[in-house]
Amino acid sequence: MTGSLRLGAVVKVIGTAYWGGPHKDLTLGMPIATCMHVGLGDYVVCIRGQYLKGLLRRWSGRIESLLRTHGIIRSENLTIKLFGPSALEGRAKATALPSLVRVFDAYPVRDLPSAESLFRDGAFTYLSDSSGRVYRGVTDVFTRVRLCDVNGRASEGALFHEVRALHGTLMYFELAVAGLGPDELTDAARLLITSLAQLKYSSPGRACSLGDVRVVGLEPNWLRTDKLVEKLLRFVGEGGG
Amino acid sequence: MRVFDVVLRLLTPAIISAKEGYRGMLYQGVADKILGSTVKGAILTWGLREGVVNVKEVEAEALNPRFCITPFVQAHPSLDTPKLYENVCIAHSLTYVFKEGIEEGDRRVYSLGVKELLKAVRGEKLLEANCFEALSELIMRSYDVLDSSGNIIKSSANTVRASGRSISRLNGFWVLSSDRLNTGAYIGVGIDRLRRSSYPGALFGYEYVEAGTKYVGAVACEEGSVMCRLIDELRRGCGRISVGKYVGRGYGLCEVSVSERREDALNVDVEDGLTALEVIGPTFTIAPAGSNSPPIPRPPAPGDVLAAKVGRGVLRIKVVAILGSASLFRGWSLRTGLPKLAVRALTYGSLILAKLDGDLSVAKSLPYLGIDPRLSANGYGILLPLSEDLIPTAGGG
Repeated sequence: MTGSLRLGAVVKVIGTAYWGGPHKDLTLGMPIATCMHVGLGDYVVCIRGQYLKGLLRRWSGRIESLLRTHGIIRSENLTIKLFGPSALEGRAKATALPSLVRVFDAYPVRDLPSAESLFRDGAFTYLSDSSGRVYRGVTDVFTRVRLCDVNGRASEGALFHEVRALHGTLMYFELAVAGLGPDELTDAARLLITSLAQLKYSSPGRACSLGDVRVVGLEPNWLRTDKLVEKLLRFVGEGGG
Repeated sequence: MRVFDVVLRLLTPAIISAKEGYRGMLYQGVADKILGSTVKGAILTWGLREGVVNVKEVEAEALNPRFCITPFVQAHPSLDTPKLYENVCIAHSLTYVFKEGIEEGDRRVYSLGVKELLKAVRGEKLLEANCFEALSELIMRSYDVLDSSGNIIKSSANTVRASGRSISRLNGFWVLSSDRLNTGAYIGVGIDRLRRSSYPGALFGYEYVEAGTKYVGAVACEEGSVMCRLIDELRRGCGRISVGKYVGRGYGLCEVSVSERREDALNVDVEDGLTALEVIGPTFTIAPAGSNSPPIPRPPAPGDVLAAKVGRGVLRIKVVAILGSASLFRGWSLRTGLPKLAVRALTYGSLILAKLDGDLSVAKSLPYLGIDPRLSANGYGILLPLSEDLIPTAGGG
């Protein structure tokens, strides 16, 4: 018998943050990543799911053995199970099964209660929400100049602009895991929440972008009966952190 | 058989690659049509993930399918209730549009006239050459669009083929919905894991379809089949399936809405004799055992006889001429972990001019059930009989 897990989290931008996107603009140089939001019908500041998944995969691989040593998780090779065989083996294999984790794009939300209510509304409803809880986000243009590696001064003709999300912007996203048994699901919850907590200590963006991560919801509810999960949730925000 | 109209609305961008090497390093996407087998796989995977069905049931359904699925065609964004064959379809090979829209906004689609072509050919000895002679006469006519004073607004010299593109019926006119399709490029670079830096010369790109795009198709399934259970479940719970590549990274998430059709046949007049059949699902044939040809899938050619069976009824489709082109269709099976057999088939919108013989009521089910259940379970062999053209002939001002 297999089950599934859904987790909602918010990344709070500290300082200003920038995530690269596919669109380049001649006037602005480096605009922040934007995605078409179905509910708003417009391009909105976003963090691509692939970006967040990459960060989670990296942290998960790094801390898994440590967590196992301390008896926090028991399952073997959980990162490979969750993120697919290509996660740690160095290159993608043609026969690799799809990963069990799905991480979706993060969009700006008004405040934490909005994020919590979006989680309560059901799986991935924030991707098509038009009630105003998801909004376009606030950005500003920052003018910068590239420094010369040789003399340490401003390079000539190397002025550029960056569009960055402002301090305090809350980016909400959800991730889902499916196809694991109850024991493995508990371990997966522990590993993923711990990996999310690590994002506080790394850069969830480019060019000195910092963020604080807060979990706003976890399903199914029986996972909360696990004392370690409850403790971790308290540490990463939900339940009073 | 129960027939369901299924509408997919993309909540996140979708990558369904069709061709390699497009624009140097891009994998071109399928954009305005999704092959039935891709959607079939997405529904079965959703069922497995949500625990609605188990692996054994999926294996059994894949090996012995009790359902048929049409390709999913992009609908115009302003259509609230898109339905395949009613207000969404694929333009056939006699259709054209003006390069610049006559009207503001969407470009209207016009046809050279299936009925005219059939009328010109009927009565003569049915040979492929006769069909092309009749077609060339149609082409040589003038299709200028005139205003009320008789001045040419648009010259027929300024037209381009619309064959195989998705069309939608808006305010009584068929328009190109593929014009309203937004695509983008996912650019990535291979990472050298040792150096943790980009690998030289490993830049790649995938074309994706933007979120918000709607696709519409139909699924016909036997009562009690696994697919029927899954569709019922999707209908109840407003399920969300993931289609295409990179679903783990959040790509291809679709909102599914399902409604049941009362009948499993379209109300089309099919006459004995020469008829045009539009290819909705790519169509191929395999030479029967004992013939001189090798048993390799190939597009039907003049002289071939395709047999369509529904229940006890058998319809023989004797191919007289083909107006269209063939394309290569490939895929990847998650069930076997191997690539699917590459199939060269008549592509979307091609017209098969054929003489029908046998149980004509079978022809009415071809748009949903296709010519062979083994093919139509993967979206192949779906044909739409056209005794009359859906699309108006000649460009009226």
